[in-house]
Amino acid sequence: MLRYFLHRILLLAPTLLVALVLTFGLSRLVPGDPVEQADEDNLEKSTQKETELLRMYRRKAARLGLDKPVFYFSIQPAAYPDTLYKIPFRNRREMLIALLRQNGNWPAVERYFVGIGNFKTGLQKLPDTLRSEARSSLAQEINDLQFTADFSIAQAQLQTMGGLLQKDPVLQQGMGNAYMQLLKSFQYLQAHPQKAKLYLPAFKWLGFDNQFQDVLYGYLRGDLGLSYNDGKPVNAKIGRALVWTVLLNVFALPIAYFLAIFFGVRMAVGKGGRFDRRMNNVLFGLYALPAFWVALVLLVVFSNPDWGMNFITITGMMDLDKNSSWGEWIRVGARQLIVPIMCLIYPAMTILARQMRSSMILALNQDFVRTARAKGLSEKEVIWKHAFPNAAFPLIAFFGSLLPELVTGSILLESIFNIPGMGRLLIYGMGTQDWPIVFGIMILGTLLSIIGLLFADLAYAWLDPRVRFGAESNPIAQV
Amino acid sequence: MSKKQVTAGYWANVWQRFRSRSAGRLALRSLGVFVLIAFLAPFIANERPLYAKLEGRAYFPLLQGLLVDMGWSTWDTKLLPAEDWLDKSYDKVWYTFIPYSPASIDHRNLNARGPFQKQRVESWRFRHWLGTDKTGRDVAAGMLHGTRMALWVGLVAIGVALFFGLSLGGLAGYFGDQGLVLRKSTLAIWALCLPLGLYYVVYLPGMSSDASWISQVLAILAYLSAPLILAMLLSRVFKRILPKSGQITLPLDTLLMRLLEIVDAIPATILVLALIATMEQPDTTYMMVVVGVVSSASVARFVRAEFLRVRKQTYMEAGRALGFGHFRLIFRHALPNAVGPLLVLLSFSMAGAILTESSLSLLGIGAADRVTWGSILGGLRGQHEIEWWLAFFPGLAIFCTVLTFKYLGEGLSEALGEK
Repeated sequence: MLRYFLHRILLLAPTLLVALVLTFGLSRLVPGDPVEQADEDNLEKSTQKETELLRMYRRKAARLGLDKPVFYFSIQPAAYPDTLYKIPFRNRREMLIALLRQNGNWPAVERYFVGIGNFKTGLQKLPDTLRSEARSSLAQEINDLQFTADFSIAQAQLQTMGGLLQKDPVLQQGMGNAYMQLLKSFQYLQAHPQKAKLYLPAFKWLGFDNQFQDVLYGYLRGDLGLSYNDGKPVNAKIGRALVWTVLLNVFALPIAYFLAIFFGVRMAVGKGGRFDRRMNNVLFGLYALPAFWVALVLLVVFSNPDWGMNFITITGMMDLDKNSSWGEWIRVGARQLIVPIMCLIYPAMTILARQMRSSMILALNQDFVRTARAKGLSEKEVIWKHAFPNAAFPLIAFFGSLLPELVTGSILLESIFNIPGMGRLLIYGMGTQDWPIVFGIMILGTLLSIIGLLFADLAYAWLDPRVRFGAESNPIAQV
Repeated sequence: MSKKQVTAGYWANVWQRFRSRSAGRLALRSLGVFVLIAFLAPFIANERPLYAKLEGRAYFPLLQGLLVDMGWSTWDTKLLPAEDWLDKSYDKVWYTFIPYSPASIDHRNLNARGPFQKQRVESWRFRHWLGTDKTGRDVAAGMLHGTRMALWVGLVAIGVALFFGLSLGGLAGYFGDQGLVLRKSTLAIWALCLPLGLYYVVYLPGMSSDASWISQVLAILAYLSAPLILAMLLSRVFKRILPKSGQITLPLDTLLMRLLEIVDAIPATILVLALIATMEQPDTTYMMVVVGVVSSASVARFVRAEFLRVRKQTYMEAGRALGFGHFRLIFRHALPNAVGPLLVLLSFSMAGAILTESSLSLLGIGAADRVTWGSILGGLRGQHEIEWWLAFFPGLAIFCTVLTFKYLGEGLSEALGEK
């Protein structure tokens, strides 16, 4: 048994690692600049001064560990620089890449970019007494130019800037040099494209001190990072939400299992009979009934004061304070949770009952059942002691697959009934682009589904020794 | 030879058995109705009149609208602006059965008027039979056009799932762990060229973002196939140069199973949500591609099992003994024998995809401007007082579609003699 256990763990560990890499990769693909998103203070709003802005960004990135390379290595076109991640602001990085993709000459692109930056800081460093319309429109133009990837548009913008400078001799005196440098770098960029380098992939090793390693160590310590919205740990938020989801499932799952076993066994025993046929149709109808629709309809029916049935509420649980008595908690809790629990029970129950029925029918046709009957055992003993334990395997496998759902929660039901569980936290995280929450839940779900797989495997091996001795015939690995 | 065919073919038999069951017939009929509605939706519910007389000239705005959408025509200046059709004063006008488009806003019936409530309309002709939603859009029109979206969404999702599932699962199931024996040199070349192909597919298409999507797809295919062709040519050449390089068995099946284990480990709902999150502005079709990719894992698993079963059949052995190539064995022998069970699975997947789409749009994820069944339901999220018509009708439509596809699948699997 121990050997089998170790064997399975050895197989599942790499799976977990690859899933972690995938999750991390996805978390770096989502829109938004993590440095800007983290914490509530908005960098762009706090200061307009270019140099100060860059300094603040760099300091914040260093504090969050986001000034490191993303992964151990990179595979990029040879034209790309290997220190692109050090340039502040995601939109500027994307801008640089857009320019690079057209041109391929990194030194020239860099010179042009530095030229823009110098012009911008130079314009801001001009004495405050020099306030004119030309200056503000020049500032507008340079801001636009900073995010113009189209060369012909950029050319036009540069021409406009030149025109503005020519009209204003004071500005010309202050900014003329910076403008000439910028114009030269732009012309050089246009004249010296190196497109061939774009088509060659280059492998670059970036070292062990990277973002992925930090995140991985964080996960190993059980730290899922900080929420972007308020800078509080994701762990605490998930912990609070988990209580609700687990609470719902603790009530829903045993009831679903009990009902499924009851109906499934009865249907299988009386196969083809009236109960079986009727129940089959009912289960099929329930199976096609979307749970979220049932939830909405129940909400309509039971929360309408006009019809005198306002006994469920979708707010209330959160209104209770800590001093309320236990009775109060239970009464309000029941009012709010009974319908969601019902909506959780029936989809699981329908799937399980159908599963139970078919596996029970298979079990009842086995030789050992006939032997048991021939021995003169009572029908009850035949069903529950001989057939049922053999038919229960799919239910165990199903429990393994339910485990991650315990954590991710039912997104739809929690959103509809306003239950502050994991599903709603996830949707909230998606809506506010609070990615640490989203990917924290994803990691937790992944971990639990792997534990669920392991659990199902072990339970199989425990119940069916054949599995233990021949890994080849492991029924889960096969199907 | 007798004139009458005595033994009907396999599929004719399946068809007969399928039709002999009332559930199967019913499912087929209701599918027909859904498809019909999907095609005819713009002719049933449209704010553009079928026929309109304006200042002595006759127009056919509905037909013209279709042409304009396809880029074959432009609006007449008299009809401009081409919005606000309902507010124009015509000399004579014929509307379609429901004179509203899913997006047209009736300013006089804002804030969700029920089907039985008092509505401020000119005549019964303009009544909102299924009520309006918060922004004054007609629910019936939304429902009809939602049918279109639902079927489209399901088709995209299962198409994508089928493509990936069939190719991965088919290869793994057909070759198994021992079936694919390659020369070491060939393997080395493929190992070099495949990542290169992926690199060009991931990186290069972004270079020409202003091109039309057809040329982008063509470009992707070109970038993908170039390294493959190169790999094939190189391995031919190497075979000549190094005739005695060692052989190696590629355990395709184990590789696929490991891959599927990884995909299964990440909870599907969250994976779909995270993949959608990587898009700045998710489009419904893109979302369904994501759903298709994620659900292709189950198709691959199924196809693999099916091919493993088919592989052991005697006709495959006979084919191999006759020296048929892999290509012929896969497409002429293995695949046709796996089609039946696959259809059952696809029917269930279609139901699943439609459910997923409606739950996503219920949550408000995805394109907000498209009216779907889920988006009508989504207007009710987190509300205290719920308008029953906004909950009931779209939900009923979802239920009926899902039930149709599930019955279709069930009927098919019975007709194929499974269970």
